[in-house]
Amino acid sequence: MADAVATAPALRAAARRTTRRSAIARGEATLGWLLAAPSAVLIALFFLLPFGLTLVMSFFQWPTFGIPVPAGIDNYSHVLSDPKFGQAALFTVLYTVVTSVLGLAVSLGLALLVRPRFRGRTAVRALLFAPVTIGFAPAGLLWLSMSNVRTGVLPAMGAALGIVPAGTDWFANTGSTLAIVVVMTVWKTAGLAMLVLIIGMDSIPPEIYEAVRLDGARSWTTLTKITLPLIAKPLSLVVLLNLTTAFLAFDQFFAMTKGGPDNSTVTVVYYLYNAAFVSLQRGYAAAVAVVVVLIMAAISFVQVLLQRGKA
Amino acid sequence: MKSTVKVLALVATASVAIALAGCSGGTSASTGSADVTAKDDGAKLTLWVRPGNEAVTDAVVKQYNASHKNQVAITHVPADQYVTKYAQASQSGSLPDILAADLVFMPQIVANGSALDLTGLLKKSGAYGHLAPAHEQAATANGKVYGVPYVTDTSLYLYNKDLFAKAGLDPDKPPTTWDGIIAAADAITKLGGGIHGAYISGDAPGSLAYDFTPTIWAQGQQVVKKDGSFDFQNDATKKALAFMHTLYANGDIPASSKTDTGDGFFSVFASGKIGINFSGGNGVNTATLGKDPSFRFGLAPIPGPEDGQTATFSGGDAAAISAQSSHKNEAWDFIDWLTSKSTASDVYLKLPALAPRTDVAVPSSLGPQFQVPAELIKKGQTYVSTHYNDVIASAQGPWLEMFQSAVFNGVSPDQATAKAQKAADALTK
Repeated sequence: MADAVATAPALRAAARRTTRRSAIARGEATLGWLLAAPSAVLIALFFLLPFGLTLVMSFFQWPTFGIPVPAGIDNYSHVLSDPKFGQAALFTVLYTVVTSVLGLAVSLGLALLVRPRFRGRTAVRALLFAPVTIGFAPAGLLWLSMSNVRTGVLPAMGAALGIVPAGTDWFANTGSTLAIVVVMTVWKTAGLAMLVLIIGMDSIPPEIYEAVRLDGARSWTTLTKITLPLIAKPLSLVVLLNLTTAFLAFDQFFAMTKGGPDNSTVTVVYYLYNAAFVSLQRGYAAAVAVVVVLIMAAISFVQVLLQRGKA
Repeated sequence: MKSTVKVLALVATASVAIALAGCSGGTSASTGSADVTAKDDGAKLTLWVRPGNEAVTDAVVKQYNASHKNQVAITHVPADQYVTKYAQASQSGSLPDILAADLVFMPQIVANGSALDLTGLLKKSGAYGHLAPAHEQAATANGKVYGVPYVTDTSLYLYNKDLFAKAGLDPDKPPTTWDGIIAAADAITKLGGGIHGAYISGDAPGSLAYDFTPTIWAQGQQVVKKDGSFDFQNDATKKALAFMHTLYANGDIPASSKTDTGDGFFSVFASGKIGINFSGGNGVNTATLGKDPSFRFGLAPIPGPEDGQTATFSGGDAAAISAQSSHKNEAWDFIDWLTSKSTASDVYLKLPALAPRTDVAVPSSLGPQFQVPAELIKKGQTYVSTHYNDVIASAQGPWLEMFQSAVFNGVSPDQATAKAQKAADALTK
């Protein structure tokens, strides 16, 4: 009984603490909801609602002019059986792989190059980052005008240096066309990836490098055994950032190649654009959009797993 | 996960556009114009045009605004977004008072019932039967006219008289047959030094519709059937493709033509290194080439294989009054003014630009640069199909693929036309 009497105030105090904690928790939860509300409203209005509409439209033959007619899964079976979609998907995968691998190598190289302190480092970093600040369409037009056989400086330079014969049209075959777009994309995106990797490298404690140096490790060993393993997460982020950006490529191809030569550089998003805004088949375009979203969701799922270190 | 939201948002943005554009379907009936009369009462009119022809579209409106109480405000809608924006505005009831579009899109606007029937008004004003025929053809349905010419242009070929003379050809006798063109182009190419006998913007589907189609029409073959579907698998198209391939295979058309999406339409010829350029009439007058030529050049009709066979695509913009407009009387005042004889002679020809009317004489002071196309416009043809956008204008459409594969890639015209026919039929079915 004495114990009971003795514990009663303690229980009451504990209950008060619990009540206070839950009041704080409730307050925090309310604040959280309030802070998240604007974003939630925007996401609902500009993503969930239109995506829901797109999903509905994808099950209709929905011409721009005329009455929509239910089409079941016809649009989806058409997307998956259209050889042009297959060709666009294959090209997109090729472009994505080439751009991502090259983009990673270049951004890693740049990060290693501009990470150490040297005179003018900030200016060099700013210059390397500058292309990130412009859009793909203007960047594409810039490179198109530089690479144009009639007006560009690059073909003339290539000819003067003896790399290519004079008058070579770089947009006349798929290989060189793809190469120009890849170079432009890497030029435009490497700066951002470089910054992410520099931040990752800066978070590695200097003592580790000191210890490695005392052990007499060479630069290559330091890079492969210390730096790269310790920036695994930023690296995975860069890889997946490159993958998702490249997979959704459209602007640069629209501006630079118009899908040519011979329709060999049509990406899946370009295919989607054609369905929606050239053929004006909204229902079919909606089905393509849903397929693209599903592919992107799969890539993002892998991204989440990698970031949690479970993959 | 952040990038997931970002990429999904990208697709969602496209989805919003798709959803908004497609939220409501249906077509409205054409509106009659029985009670419309021209009124100049100070209304503010809205007008949509595509960019590119400002030298005519904006200049003409400026003169209307200067002499009328009504004021027209122009919005330049990018050509490749025109149909989409039109569809959205049509379905949300927010169309402008006056719709001016590339005439090849007029069949779509007319079919959708968005335009006011102008037949009676044009008959009353005296313009009926005196307007550029291709524009009228594109804007006509069931015998009723829904649009008028706003900007007129016509396809033809330009030729460099200096190069003709250098190659021993008569600069005053441009070729009138395909054999003549091939012979002249071969002779000019032989001059060397980066000079080529012929040129065509080979990766620009709209330009090819404009300056390659006449080689088919000249043989008496139509490309669009009466039901709006397409006819590619015919002898005339195969012969026309073989003709262009010969020019390319002979080295007369430079390899860079294959990737010219339209930027070289005039500029390549303006370099002075091209003998014959399949091109257009009005544009040359607004380009530096027409204003300040560094060499002598001439204009001639695009021929067929035989002497006497010629054809031309009459392009440009057509204007229609929106059936939704709350200022129909004032909009008609503008259209009435636009299609009058006095506007043709006092405004258009003084800009100078080709006029919407065909019954106004072009002053000799304007020279052949205007006289030749003005004559051609009288016999101009165009495409009348609601599938022009996906079959012809698309960079991935069957028309461009057919031209590129047969002319540049050595695919036989039989195969190229068969493939194009199949693809076009799938799009128009």
